[in-house]
Amino acid sequence: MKPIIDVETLHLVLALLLVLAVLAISYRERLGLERDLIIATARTFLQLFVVGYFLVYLFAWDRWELVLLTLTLMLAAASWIAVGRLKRPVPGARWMAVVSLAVGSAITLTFVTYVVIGVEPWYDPRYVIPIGGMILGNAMTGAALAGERFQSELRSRVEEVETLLALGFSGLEAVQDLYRSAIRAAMIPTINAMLAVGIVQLPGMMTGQILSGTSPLIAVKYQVVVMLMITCAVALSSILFLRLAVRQYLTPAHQLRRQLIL
Amino acid sequence: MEMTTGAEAELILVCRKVSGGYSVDAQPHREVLKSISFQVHAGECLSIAGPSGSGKSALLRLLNRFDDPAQGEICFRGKPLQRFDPLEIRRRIALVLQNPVMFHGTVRENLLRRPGRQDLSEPPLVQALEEVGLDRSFLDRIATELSGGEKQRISIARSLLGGPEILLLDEPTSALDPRSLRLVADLITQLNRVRGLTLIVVTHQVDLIHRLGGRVLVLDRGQVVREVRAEQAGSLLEEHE
Repeated sequence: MKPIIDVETLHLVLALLLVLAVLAISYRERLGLERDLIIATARTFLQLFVVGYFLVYLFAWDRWELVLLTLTLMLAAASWIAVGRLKRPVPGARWMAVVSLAVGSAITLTFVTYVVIGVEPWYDPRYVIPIGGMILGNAMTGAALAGERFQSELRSRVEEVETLLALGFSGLEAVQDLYRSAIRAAMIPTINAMLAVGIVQLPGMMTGQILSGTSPLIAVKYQVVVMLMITCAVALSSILFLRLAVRQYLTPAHQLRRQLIL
Repeated sequence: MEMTTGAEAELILVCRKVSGGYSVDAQPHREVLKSISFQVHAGECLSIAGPSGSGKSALLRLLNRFDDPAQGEICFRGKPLQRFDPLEIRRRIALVLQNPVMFHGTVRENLLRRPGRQDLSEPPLVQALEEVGLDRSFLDRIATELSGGEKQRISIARSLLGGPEILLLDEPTSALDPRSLRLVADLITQLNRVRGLTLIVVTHQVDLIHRLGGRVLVLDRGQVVREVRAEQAGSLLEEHE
């Protein structure tokens, strides 16, 4: 097998020409994207190189405590971002995100690394960190989507919910339809991704593996696992998050807290 | 001013110095109502009138525990509302909201959309329809395709099927044309006079108040400013508009 071509630093700088071209277009077409483009490009370089060096050390140290610590920090960041995406988070949304992402991701990650792949030792950062990252990232998006969708459904269907409450349905029964459509909204991007995978473009992880010299068949097997685990993590995390969040909109006396939705 | 409809009628609902509540239309904020007291006898028809923003709907929503008052006490048949199961209260004190919501499906499915195991037989449904002036042919119509007045009547029929002791109606005719207003007003009156159902109706429409008769509580800025008979309400309401 041919050895993998490392991108030389000078050549990486050449890749900047691509962004420079976009900058020129943005300037000429008055898109006003120059500032954002420059910041985004700089952050891409910075963040990825920091992560790259961090991973080099993490792999070299090879300690389970550090792997768990890293996963915890990733969990905190994912929860923070998920709640930040909500327009009006309910009180306590942050810890709800932590709990739901932690539970949903931990179950999925443990199953995938321990049972499916059989990582040895169990904490091998080369596997656990990138797989954990994919799981957390998708779970985060799913929980945020579910939360956002539930709130907008509640806002537009408040009269329907109140009609059911007035008829004597419990709070959870009254919002059940909204809950279901929020979970569906969170799951649809993942299901669509499974339907389209491989037809137009190869997923990032598979591309990376192939570029780094892995046999496409191994890459495919990993990708299948990735798709299935993302589906599971998104479902678990968004359901857990919404189950916790929905209760905040209701009082124990089956009253709707209107001040949270208007 | 205290008026009763016969000394022997039981006091079914008593409000004592109730404050709080949330306004529904505007930005929600506390303390809409200020020390409201009134009582309702079984079989009575009480109208709650006043300009928009006076706290009419906020008050109505306290009576079926959609909200709880910040201060004061509401008693149903001599017992504070808080001591009942809220779901039981909402069946016994049924609220019909201003805009009738019809769920997907037929009128039959809408009438059966109530908590607990449903009696699927037709006679009670037909009886409920007849009480709101509709016949059995409506059972298989698509609920969302009905007219505004018909939807309002189905929504009342749906609440009647729960066997309420008090029916709360929030602006039941505000979205209706004059002909539908008369129809709905008449059937509400029938429910009170024929079925003996206790009614509390929030409205700003003098026409509806006149048709309903009975007592009128006039609210302004969260307070009861007057309590009059329906016949006297017209001029008073214009004064407070």
